[in-house]
Amino acid sequence: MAEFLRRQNSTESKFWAIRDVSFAVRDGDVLGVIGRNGSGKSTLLLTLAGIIRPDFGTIQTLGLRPTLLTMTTGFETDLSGRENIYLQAAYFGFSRSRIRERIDEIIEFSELGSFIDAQMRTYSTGMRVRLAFSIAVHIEPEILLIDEVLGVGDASFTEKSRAKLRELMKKAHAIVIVSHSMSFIRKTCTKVLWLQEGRIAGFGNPQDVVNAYIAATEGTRAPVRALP
Amino acid sequence: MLKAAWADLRATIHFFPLVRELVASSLKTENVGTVLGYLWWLLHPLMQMGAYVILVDVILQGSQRRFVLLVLTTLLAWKFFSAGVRDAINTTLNKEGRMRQIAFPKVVFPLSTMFADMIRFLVGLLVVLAVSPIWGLYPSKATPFLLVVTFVQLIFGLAFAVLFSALNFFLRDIGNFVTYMFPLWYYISPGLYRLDQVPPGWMHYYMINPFATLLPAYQEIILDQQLPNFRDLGIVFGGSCIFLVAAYLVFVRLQSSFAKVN
Repeated sequence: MAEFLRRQNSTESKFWAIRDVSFAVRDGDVLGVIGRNGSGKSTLLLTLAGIIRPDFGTIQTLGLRPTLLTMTTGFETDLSGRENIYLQAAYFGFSRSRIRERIDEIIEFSELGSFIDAQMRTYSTGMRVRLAFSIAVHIEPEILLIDEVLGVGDASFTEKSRAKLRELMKKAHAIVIVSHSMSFIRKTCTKVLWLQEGRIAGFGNPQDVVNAYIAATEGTRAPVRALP
Repeated sequence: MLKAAWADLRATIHFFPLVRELVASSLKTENVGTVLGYLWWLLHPLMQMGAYVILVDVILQGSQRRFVLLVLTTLLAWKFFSAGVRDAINTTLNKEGRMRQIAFPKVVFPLSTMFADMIRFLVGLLVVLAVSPIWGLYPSKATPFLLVVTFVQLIFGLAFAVLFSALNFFLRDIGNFVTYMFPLWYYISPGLYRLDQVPPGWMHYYMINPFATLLPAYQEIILDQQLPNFRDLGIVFGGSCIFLVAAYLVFVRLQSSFAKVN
């Protein structure tokens, strides 16, 4: 037990997913986070969302509630879709009475119709994903954190989801988005943070940081052999 | 650490609707698909009681009056404790994925499982009170004090549930400890016998066990129709509160690492 507690507190032999990352996001900012796989982008979002507590340093949100927009498909399959809405919303701190005000909107957006009162074990994957997304976008976070949760359901639902996301982004005080789409980052973000091996490799103007990132990653791409 | 615990406690109070939803979900989904449903929670102690009655009453012919009721009452109380702690450990572990997706005070899991098992226990107690007339026992002025004893046991069980659910995340032996060692604890508690059957020379050590106070308290109310020993209950309650605070501090200290553990 003593050895276990000592290892919990020791900083030796630890892998640092992110280290020495400091930045400020102002009201109205849309911060894009870019970097290669394993650079610490998701860990950064989990830390900003309060899901992981940093070993060192602090995060100040000035009383605003950051929420990670996530496809929480961990539903209770023995409960109905409707009961799962109440349960999922409770995970975000919503009481039954509060979610009752918007439950009709959530059900309508999910396009589940009468299936909403059936047990979730009868749902297809697409139905679960639609319900998960519908719940997520109706929580109305004050600081919106997005980890590439796009492209859900069929084409028409995807388009509806993107429109809803754009609406959410207008209402949030600040947004942090992780994306691999540089065109989306350039078009949407007011600032960009580039992470490399858990540290800041660039921060600031989207064009400058994205260009630097592309230049750095192009140099490390494996050459493509031409076909005979 | 105290500042973090206070912040977590305030968050837990804010997230109390989640505790309610988790309790409701647990009560609704347990035994879904079975014909007997909730009865399975009762059947387990009933079957154990049947085995003990055959062994002690019929074969050994060494039981006392109203042995069936004695054993059923204590088995239900024991199930409230052991199932509550075990469910807290399992639920906290099984919800690991959810902890990586949403930020919420994780102590809702041991809280909700203990509350759900308390509700099942109270329904079981109603069944015991309903069948007691068979042995000539009816509700008395002491009967409402079952809620007091239940509350004291809840605090005690909650302390174990909170502590063990946090420790088990890193040391899976805790779950095995509960599975294999807790039944032994029942046998050294006055569940199959009355407290006055314990040799006087052992009493000093025997009373260190909180169930040496809790189980007799249920027996005194239901079988003897007397008020329980409030002094001893007060000592167990006080000790449980201190234990619960310590357990909660450990939980708050460890919960930040839950999402980091694969």
